[in-house]
Amino acid sequence: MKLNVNSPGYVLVFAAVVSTVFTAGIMTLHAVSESAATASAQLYEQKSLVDVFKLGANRELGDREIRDLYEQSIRQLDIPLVDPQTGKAFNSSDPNASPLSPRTYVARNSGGTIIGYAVPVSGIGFWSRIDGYLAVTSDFSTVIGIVFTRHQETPGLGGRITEPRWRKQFEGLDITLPGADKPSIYIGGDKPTSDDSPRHGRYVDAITGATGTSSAVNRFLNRDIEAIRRAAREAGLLDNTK
Amino acid sequence: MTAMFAETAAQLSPSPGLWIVLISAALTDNILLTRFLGMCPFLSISKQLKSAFGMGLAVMVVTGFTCVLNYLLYIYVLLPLTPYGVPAESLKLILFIVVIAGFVQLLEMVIERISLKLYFSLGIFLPLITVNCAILGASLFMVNNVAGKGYDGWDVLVYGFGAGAGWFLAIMLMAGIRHRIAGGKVPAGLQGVGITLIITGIMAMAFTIFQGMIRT
Amino acid sequence: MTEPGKTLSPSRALWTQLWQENPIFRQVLGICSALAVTNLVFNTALMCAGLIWATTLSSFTVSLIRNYIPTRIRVMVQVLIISAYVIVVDIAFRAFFFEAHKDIAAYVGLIITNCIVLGRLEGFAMKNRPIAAAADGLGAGLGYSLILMSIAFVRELLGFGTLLKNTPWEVHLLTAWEPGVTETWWRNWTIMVVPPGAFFVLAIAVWIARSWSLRQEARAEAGKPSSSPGKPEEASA
Repeated sequence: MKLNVNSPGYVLVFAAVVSTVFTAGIMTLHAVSESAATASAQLYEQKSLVDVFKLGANRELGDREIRDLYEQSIRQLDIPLVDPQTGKAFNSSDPNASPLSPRTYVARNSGGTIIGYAVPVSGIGFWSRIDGYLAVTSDFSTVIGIVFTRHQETPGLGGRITEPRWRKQFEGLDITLPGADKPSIYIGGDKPTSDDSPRHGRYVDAITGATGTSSAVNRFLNRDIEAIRRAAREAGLLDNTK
Repeated sequence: MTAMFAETAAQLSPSPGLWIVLISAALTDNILLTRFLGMCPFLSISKQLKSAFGMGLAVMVVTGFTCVLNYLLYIYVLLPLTPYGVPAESLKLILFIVVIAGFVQLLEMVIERISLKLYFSLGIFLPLITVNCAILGASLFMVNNVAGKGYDGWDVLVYGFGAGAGWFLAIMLMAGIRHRIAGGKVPAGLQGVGITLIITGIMAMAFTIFQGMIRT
Repeated sequence: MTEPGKTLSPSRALWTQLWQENPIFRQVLGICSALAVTNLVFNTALMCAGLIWATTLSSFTVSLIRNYIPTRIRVMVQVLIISAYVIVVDIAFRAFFFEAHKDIAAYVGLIITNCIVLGRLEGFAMKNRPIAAAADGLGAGLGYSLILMSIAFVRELLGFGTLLKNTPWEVHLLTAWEPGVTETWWRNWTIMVVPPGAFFVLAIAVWIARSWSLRQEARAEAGKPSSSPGKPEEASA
């Protein structure tokens, strides 16, 4: 019996079979690769944290060493960190929270003293959302480093926010609140000329040719810094430096 | 994950004004000049103004409607199924293509019934655009925007038609320019595709001016 | 385009696709999605690998079941098959090349609507045997990759001054290794990393290829006995 490939019945059966095979195949593939994908994502996160806490230079470290450094020194913060004014959460304390929820990390040195906290910062850049971690000293007064984990800025322009050279400017930056509605940090604008200038110790050069990205990052970093300090005070972290 | 979207949207700035959505979709983030999508038909059909108009209009209509349809399906069907092991990220590709193909078929039938005149100016391009990268791309970027910039339903509507309008604008401009330079002296190696690409590059440069219109 | 109905041996199919009918040179098809990733060589390499995989395997698969596909849903089935392989690529990239995947994710998905892939399925795989179809797909993918890698080479070198940026094999050919500490004479051509640069580089690539092939054709014409006598050989520029 010759198979009529074009009979309606056949078309229906064919379509059904193909769709089922296809969907089943994709779902299986997903299930199988899930662990590898999560491991990759996890390693990336760990790399960013090791980098932002200045525990080691990413270029020289292998995957094993990064995992070890992370295991030794970094933990997720175990108390919730929420800004009482805006409600923005920087750390959820629910252990079953989805991997997409914000997490703050604590780094401790071998003696157990807290080196600092890595708080998630995010906002809309020039093109789309930018995510990163801001590492701050245990009293939330100075920046240890900054790292950007996700962005869609123009490569070579706004994308340069990930370059170590630009990020290095953030180290040691003063992020205490100057009060009177002044921003904590300045990205771009007038460079401070003297030690008395209000911008001293708070200034970072913008990226040439990337004004949009630079001002967007300036805006959301300042907003997040204020929120983080409020949240830290609320959680009682600002009072102890242990 | 729907909750995550809502959370994201609430935590970042409130969803951007519709004008900004429109301007970025059509001008600064132009799906052809900035994102390189839809080049095949763009290069071949931009030779005549009339066909460029028909094609551009078809693309705009299909992109607009399919963006909205895909948004609704993604948010209300695909995402809620994720906890049951359905990989939304991977399956959305095929879902979007099926929706686009189906919509185009439907639209073609409808236009043929309604107006033969419209069918000849617009409808004949429809089969060609089922696989126009720009339309699938618009839906994929729409998902990115919903997750990254907190776009809601209305934003997606404006985004879909805006992206299509941007493509429409680009192809009309190109057709006009090619019409003007027809008969000009172009080196043999550059004729046709080559010179069109150079013009496209210059247009892309020109469109970057619009980035100044959006102040973050 | 290969004449329909004529079955080719695998090696001829591969060779024909790779050079004579190289899609980019002749028809500039399918450049859409991939141009966006050509500002970095590594991302382009991944994209090309994905495309070669998808084209070869979907050509093979479509050819395998070509006699069982109903005409009506032909295109949908082809698209479904391509999607399957593209999704495999996407998942693989997400697992093994996490950082690069962030940049190219949207464009990997667009391989599905890539004119080249569909063109090969419709034009060749539906009418030829599996091995030949696979070879044809492989050739198309390789030819396509040749162009893209060349464009990426130029764009990254002139735009960033490096090659294989963001990989362990990164080399700084033009820019300094420690910008800010040492500098070279080179200033990056930012235009190369933004969209207009891709259009210009591709236009130049097309120009070179077209001029070359036109010259070949003219030479072939001059060599034929039927061509007008006394026609001077084209002086090479």
